[in-house]
Amino acid sequence: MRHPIILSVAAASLALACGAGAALAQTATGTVQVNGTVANRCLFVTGDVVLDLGELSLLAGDTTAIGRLDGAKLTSRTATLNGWCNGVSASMAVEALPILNTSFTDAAPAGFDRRVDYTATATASPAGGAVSASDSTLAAGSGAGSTTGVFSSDIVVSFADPSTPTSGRLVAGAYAGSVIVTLSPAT
Amino acid sequence: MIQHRTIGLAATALALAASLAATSAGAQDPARGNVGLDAQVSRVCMLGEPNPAGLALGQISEASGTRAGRLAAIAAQTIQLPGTFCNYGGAALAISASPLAVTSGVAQAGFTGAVNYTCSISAWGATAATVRTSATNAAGDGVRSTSAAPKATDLTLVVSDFATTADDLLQPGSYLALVTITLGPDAGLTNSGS
Repeated sequence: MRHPIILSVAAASLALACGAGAALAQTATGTVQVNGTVANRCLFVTGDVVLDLGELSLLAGDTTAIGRLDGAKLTSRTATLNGWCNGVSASMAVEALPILNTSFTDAAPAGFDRRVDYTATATASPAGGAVSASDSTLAAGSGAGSTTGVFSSDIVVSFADPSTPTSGRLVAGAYAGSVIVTLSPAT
Repeated sequence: MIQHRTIGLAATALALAASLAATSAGAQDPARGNVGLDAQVSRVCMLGEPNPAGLALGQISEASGTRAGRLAAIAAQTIQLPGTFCNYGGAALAISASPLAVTSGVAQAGFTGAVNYTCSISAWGATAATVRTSATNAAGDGVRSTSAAPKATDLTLVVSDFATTADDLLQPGSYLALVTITLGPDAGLTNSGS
């Protein structure tokens, strides 16, 4: 009867010893670091608008003014683009191209013009307040850029200072011009 | 070993992702919006207001001498049409004129109630627009003048060469003539303003 008891204790001790041995090994912890970046971006949601200005010349009124530029046809209009930039250094610039007669491409005869110049101003609305950039068609290239920072808003393009090179009468025909608004993610 | 291998793969994946993100950020171009402007300028012509508005020739018959009762010499007359223009090429200028005709009374044998004359405007096209009144030119139409290009100029209408058909004696009374100058599309002058 004594033998079986001794054996039993020995068996139990062995089991404990085994258990103590497993507890001494450390738990291994792995770390997975998750990184990501968001690039500086600017996009237009509404990026292509066409304004039909209609008849550009005065057809009534003072006889000396008939046939000359009706500036209100331009200054009374606005075009609305929509876009956003996600970077604090984002900027906006405008390049205005003159409105030219596309059906009469010869040099305008004396007393006439086939070109309309103007200043275009684009205004975005960041949370901190409106930011504008302008350009005149009288100078080649785009105007100075303005920092918009982060924004998502309408970009309203308005027009001012309409003129023709000689204040002459406009040659009949179809006219076309354009305003390019550039949103740059970083300057 | 298995753990190391797994971590190593994760690190590689992250590095790749970071690399892609960096490439994307570097390739970001400016965004461009465009506002197109379309417009047109209609064809328009304007004829300057005649100055003077009319010609008062006064007494046109000789009061004495061998030509008494016949047409006196009448100097060429001019009327200015300042500020005339057409803003397109191909516009034509036309003149129509009626003889200077007596407005009352009945013509007697040996007398005439009509004086013919020539109207001319030379500054519009390459050739002058002219018309010579006559009994046979009832409509009073003449030769048109067309400008190939848009043109803005001051026009001068010259009225000259007054004469009766057979140098007859002039019937007494008031005489009146009407000159119409028309500027507009060559093919549709009758529809344009004058």
